[in-house]
Amino acid sequence: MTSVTLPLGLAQAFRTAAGELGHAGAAEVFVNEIAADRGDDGVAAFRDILGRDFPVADALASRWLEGWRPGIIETDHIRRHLDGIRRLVVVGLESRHLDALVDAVPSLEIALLAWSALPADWDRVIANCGGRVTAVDLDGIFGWAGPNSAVLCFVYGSADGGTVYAPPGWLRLHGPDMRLQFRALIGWNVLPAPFAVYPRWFHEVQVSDFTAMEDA
Amino acid sequence: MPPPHHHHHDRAAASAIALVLDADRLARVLEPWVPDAGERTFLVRCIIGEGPIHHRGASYALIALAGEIAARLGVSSPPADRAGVSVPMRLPPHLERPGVEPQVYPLRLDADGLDRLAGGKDGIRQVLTDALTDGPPHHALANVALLNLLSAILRRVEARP
Repeated sequence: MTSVTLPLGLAQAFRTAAGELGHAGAAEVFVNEIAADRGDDGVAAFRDILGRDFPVADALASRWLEGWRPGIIETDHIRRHLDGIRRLVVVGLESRHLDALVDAVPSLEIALLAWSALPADWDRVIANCGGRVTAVDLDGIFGWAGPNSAVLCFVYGSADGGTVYAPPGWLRLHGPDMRLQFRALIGWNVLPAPFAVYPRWFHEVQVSDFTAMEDA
Repeated sequence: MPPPHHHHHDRAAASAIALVLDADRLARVLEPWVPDAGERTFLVRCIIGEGPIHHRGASYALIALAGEIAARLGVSSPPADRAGVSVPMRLPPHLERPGVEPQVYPLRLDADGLDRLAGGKDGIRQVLTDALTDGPPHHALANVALLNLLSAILRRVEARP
């Protein structure tokens, strides 16, 4: 435990931010701001307060304390898997990564599964995407399927053991009725590091469930 | 002395079946019908990358052997004017809408071979086409890949002097 105090309501604010920016995206914003204001002790306090409830924030704060800093989002390795793909369904939300992809592939039609375990104002989330992203529900995903369609899912965690952690929406997407309606199933691992706490909010899935897996 | 009990065969481990599936070989067999490499990779996944492992193994054996026969007979590519029958991506029943055409897989059925089975029966081509293209995609697409080969082989055999 550290002696640094952080504002009341931090957990509530983080929960809202994680719902609309993504677990990693929100953690980056919070850790950046807290580090600027309270230094490493503040980041450690953030981890103590929120870490067990938000495992991605915990891992990201831990990396921060080890000297890691968020960088530019690279998309070239993801674009390589989008050759011949016209339509992309995104599962899970990491707003910085989604923004980078929207900018990097102007010809791509993108849908975002507007469903997650965390509450979110999806109209607000979609409005942030500059008109390039359409919201779909679980049934609507079928309307985006096709031989030139792909799914991209944000995942987390070290893949050393052959598994990663995916948001619950992925569990529907990789059902046997849906897997073969998409040419590619791409995993984008935005936090390829081991979790120190139980990775609640996510589900452990096989790396081999994806046709491609790339680290951020 | 009684005859030894006949064992059908030992059950193969799933991993052992997976090890003998040669994706490159299957892709080469499909190439005349699916010239686009990305689409070919998708279809190879559909046929031997998904579904029950015994189906993957069976589909691979049948298609690879038919491909071997086609190669030995010098069957190259299908005639360009053969439109074929599309293989639809099946929607869950509650999402099917009248008049809305489903998406289709990048492999069409060359149903010519089915006419050899008609024997005066009308409609056999349509009925069997429906049977061949229904069911889960790994099943339907393996059917179509095999039937395309058989149709091409029959044409080649019948064209011989």
